[in-house]
Amino acid sequence: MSLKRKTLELVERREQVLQGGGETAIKKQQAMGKMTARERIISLLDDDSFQEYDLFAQHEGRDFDMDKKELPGDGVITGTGKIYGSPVCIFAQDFTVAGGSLGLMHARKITKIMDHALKLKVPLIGINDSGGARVQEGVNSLAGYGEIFYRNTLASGVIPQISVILGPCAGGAVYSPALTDFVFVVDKISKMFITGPEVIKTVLGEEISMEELGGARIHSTITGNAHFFADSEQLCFDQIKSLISYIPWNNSQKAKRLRPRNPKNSFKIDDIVPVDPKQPYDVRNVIRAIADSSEFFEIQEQFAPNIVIGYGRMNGQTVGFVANQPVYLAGVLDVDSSDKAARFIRFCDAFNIPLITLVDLPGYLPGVDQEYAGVIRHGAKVLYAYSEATVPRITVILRKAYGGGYIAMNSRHLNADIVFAWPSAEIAVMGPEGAANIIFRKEITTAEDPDKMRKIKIKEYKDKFANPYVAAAKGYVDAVIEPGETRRYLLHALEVLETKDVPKPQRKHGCIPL
Amino acid sequence: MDLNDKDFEVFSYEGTDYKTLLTRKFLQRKKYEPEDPSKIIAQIPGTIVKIMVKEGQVVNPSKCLFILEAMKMKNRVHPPVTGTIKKILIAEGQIVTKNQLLVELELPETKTKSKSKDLVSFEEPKKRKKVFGRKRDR
Repeated sequence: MSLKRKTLELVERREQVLQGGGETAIKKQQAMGKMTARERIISLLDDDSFQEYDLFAQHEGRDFDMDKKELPGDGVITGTGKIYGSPVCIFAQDFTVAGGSLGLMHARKITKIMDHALKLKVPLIGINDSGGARVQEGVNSLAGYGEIFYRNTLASGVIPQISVILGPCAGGAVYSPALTDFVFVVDKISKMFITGPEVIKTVLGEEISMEELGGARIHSTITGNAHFFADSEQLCFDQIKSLISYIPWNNSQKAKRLRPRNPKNSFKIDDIVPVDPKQPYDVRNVIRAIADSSEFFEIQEQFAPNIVIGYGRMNGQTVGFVANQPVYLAGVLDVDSSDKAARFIRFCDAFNIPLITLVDLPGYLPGVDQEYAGVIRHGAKVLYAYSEATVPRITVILRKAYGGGYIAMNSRHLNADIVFAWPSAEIAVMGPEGAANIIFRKEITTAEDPDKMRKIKIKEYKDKFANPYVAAAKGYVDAVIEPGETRRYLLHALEVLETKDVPKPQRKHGCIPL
Repeated sequence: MDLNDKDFEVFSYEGTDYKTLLTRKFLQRKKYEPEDPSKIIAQIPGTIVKIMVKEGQVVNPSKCLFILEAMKMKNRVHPPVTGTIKKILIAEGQIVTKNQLLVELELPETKTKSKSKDLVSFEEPKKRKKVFGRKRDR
């Protein structure tokens, strides 16, 4: 046989495997409104950048007549590629092959590409679309899951890990995405749960649809398991590309620097923020007034909207923004918003992304449900995450900063690098109304006209304490700045902090309250 | 986000009224209700296998009221306090849902102190026959 013939044979063999689960299965996939695994990889990666690994892998099933079955690529496509020129490792489960079920070889292909990503120190992207464990392969498929989880954990904080849920992802399979840094979901396509509607019905008698139990909307609004929600797979891939542009390849690098650009003139801080701390405004517009090109890439937009997190650029360099959102619940910290912020802060810290915190909150959310849900333990995560972070940490106090909430939001006391305050800042134990009621209780209750006296005392307290100068006098605020000049101050601070180097105590790892 | 078309609500925090939106989760939060020891409620959905008491009977926490089978487990349900059975709202063989009211107690008026005892205990497995029992009996 000549080399030419052998090459022809290769092409033939390859063609066969590239068909995946065959025409009928592909049609079924399309009928569900889903792309095939191969189409997904091609739409996500730069043109002609995909190098596939293990195309000719054969599955290991020997029981239940599985040895007679052909499963092309064993239901998963793996390889390397590029996004905006940045290298990534990728795997995509192929639902057209045995429902994308996970057998031993399937898992081996995934763990191989994970090891590769960790060795190359490049981001890992996993596209999940699988019916779950391949039951015929029994305990081997469980072993496969476990080996994936182990690598997810080892890679955590070393390379960014991205999970894309484009189909079912149920039972044990959900724990790989759960261990990764960013989870992307698509409306009506993504489904994630530990136990499905049928089991829930038989065990607990509760009836619920798959969509209501673990659809994309639920995970983006209620559970917080998902970080990005999209209406279509294509839009989801655009989001992934944007994210990749903001984050570094690994923990020893910085995110790619773009050309610095000024914010748009349409975002003016003076027009955005009302002085009265009781009035709402969209804090994301403050971020847009500060960031390059007025671009803010928000994470977990729908989940715990009382805190805003996401990326922007300052002078071309990626920064992470954490901001209280007065539009929702006056911007309080609660169980969910604490979890959301703490996780983001830790990712930024792990991947050398400086943090800018914008403060405007009345404190932690009161309520029996909050206390019972462990707001103490969850709220502590914010304190922990900020305190341990060694990346540049800058705070801007916009308006109200009361009580424990003030301390938690990267205060000077948690060793922030620089704390700015606007003249509208009110740094105090609580709002003037609450404080006056406590401090002047006697005067108010014994007064002839208690309401009038209360008003007088509230004003007295407000004049004296509802400003940034009391804290500035103690050195808790490093500089009181003109709101319109915030960007200039931040750029200077980021530049100065470029050389920040903080030694950490020797330890295996801290014990964050989880 | 256009703030002009939003229906802002008043959110009162430490005496200050903030104009803000409330989240779905906040609105759907579980309102706190103190536990009522006179109401025996199903902690888990399942089937009532056996009822051991009658209406009017005086029972204390050591008395098993009924067996609720759920998740392949026969749960023996005891009253949290001493009281008289006012009403039994279940029958043997009945399937009950979570949080369903099963038995109502009449509590003695003076004693309202509730003993903290688990509402549910697990039935101990039946003692296995001793294989060498006979020999030892001698």
